[in-house]
Amino acid sequence: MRRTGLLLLTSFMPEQEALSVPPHWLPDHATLGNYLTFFTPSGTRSIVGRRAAENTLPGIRNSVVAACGTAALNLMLGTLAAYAFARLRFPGRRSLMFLHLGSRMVPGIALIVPLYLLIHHLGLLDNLLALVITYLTFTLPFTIWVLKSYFQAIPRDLEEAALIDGCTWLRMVVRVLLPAAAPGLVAAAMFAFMTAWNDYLFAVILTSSMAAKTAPVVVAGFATDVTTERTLMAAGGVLAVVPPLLLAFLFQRFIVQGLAAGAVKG
Amino acid sequence: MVRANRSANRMARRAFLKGAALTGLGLAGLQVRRRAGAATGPTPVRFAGWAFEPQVVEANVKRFMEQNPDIKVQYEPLDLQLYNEKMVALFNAGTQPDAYYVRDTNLGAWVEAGWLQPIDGLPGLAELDADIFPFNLEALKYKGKQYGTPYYGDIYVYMYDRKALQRVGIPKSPVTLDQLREAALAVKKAGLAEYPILKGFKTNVDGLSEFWSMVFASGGNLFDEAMNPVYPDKDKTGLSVLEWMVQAIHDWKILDPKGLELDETQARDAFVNGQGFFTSNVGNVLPRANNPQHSKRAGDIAPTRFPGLTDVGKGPMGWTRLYCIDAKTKVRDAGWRLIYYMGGKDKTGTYYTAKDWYVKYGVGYAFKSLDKDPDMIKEHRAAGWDLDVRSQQYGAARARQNITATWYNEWDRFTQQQIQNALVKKLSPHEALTASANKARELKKQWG
Repeated sequence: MRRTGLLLLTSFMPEQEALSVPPHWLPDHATLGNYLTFFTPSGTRSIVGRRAAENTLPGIRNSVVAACGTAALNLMLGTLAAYAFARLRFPGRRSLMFLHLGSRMVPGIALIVPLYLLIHHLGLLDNLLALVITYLTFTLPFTIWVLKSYFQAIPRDLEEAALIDGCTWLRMVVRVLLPAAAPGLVAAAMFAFMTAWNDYLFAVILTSSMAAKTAPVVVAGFATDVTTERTLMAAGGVLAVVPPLLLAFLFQRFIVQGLAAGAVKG
Repeated sequence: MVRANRSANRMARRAFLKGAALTGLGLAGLQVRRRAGAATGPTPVRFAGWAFEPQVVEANVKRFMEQNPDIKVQYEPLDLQLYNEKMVALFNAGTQPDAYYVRDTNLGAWVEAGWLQPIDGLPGLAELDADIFPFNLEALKYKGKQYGTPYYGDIYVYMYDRKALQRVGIPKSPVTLDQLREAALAVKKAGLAEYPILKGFKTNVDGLSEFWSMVFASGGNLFDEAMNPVYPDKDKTGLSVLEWMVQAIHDWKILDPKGLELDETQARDAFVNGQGFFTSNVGNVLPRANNPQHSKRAGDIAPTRFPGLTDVGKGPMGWTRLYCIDAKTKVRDAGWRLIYYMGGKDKTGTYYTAKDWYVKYGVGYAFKSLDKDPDMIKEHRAAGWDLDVRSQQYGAARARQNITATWYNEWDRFTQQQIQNALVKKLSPHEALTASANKARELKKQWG
């Protein structure tokens, strides 16, 4: 909380004040200049980072697209896979679950070169779709685990009652199962969204222009060989925090319920 | 009837074959014309570098294309922090650009990997080399071959608060570690600061630069030509410098122990904003430190010759970033013209990009003759330089012997940790440097 507060307050300080000794929390000369820089980068008084300032808002837009795409695909694919794991008995079910989980154990840096080659061969370099596919591979196992636990916690009787009442299987899923699993779905979607939102490594390697560069990559541009524009970076950080924060506030109740269910009833 | 049909069919087949042949010829002609067109159009050169102020690079590239209309440069700024990782991915995919930036810390590894090509003998290079500071020129070479032109090069600079020294009655800037101690003690005695020297010792990319600089300024070295460590016993300079640093913290209490929690970047910003009276940092800090828009002590910061154990007229450590040409490029000549322009002269014979970087950002240049350029002299003075001190320091600066070794970064980080151990008295200076030297031997054996 203190870090977030410091980030917020620093974003309203002139650069000199942010570096003053001893440091202080409240800005003596509060300014909106750092935020205005993102709208009129040519007027910036900073030493470096003009290009990063120009690209911050488009970078946030790209982040939103990549994160929303990842979350949506997670829900689509994760729901189907998790339902199968929760309700169907088939050979290799347990091994397959652990294989999914095991895929999360591989550090990203170890995969970066083969992943780059793969995306290159697919012709998807510098494309938001490449980011969505990449994030999907990392987030889907967690989504499946969370949703599987959640589906298992929903009584079969509910499904059977809907089917006896004349629902088709698909109608039962849409009308009965998914509403009952809403907290789990929201938690899984939020996790996928946040993972995609926070990624720096894959975005930096797989993108090269504003066609696909995301906010973390752009904001990192305020730190250069010559200096770091701390106040611009803080303002960029604050802007980048807003979308996930809004989502977290909106779905707070579901997120807590969903994650708690996944953790305890697994 | 049947015959007539056959005859008509034959005619149709002939007509088809004739049409196909004509179409084929037409397409071939078109291809030839296209190829001829391609040959006469501008040669495309893909150029990339880490994204330090890409709008400035774009403007310089545009200017290059105006002066060289037969070349079309496609510039792509890459991430600064993970540049090495990104380039490794590009090399592995075979999608690397034709020309690009290279850090001196990566040069050896990239040459050994077969990614760069030497530029020896290319037109204009010898003339360019004659005007490059020795430490920059050394950094452009690996195993006797030159691989690049200088993007920028800078030195580590020792700086102090001129006003504070005047107040305590010290008229001359310190140029030896003894003089630095005396000056710092005088500032301390006058009550201006509890710890007058501020340095960042937290592990950082520049964390070892002051140690190197003090060793070089003392006339010593850490490695021989074959990259074998000569410290702490064969050449005792490194040991004496570290002993001085430990005493400065614990005995004389002039070196701020808070520096153990700061990295070089944080220490630099704290100094620019009024903390500490003596520090060292990269050369490009000076223009900012003396710019009232960006510094609270603008006009008070003065650089001095980097202090060593004795005043032997040597310089500090310097480093260089390069423009290189890819080993597999198909547009070598165009690539060379681009890096000659970016890292050398334009069509009018001016070091345009080097001047542009220095004037805009204080980024150091590699060319001796620019020291006499009136525009640059004006900038140097505004930055607080005494011109003689500047020329002496850049002229006498040295590159690190083992900078091109594939194991340099690992050794650098390990040595920073050993120096931290000595500064907190966990190890004696001799033990710390012995551990560092042993690590260098081990890495050299491992990597060759």
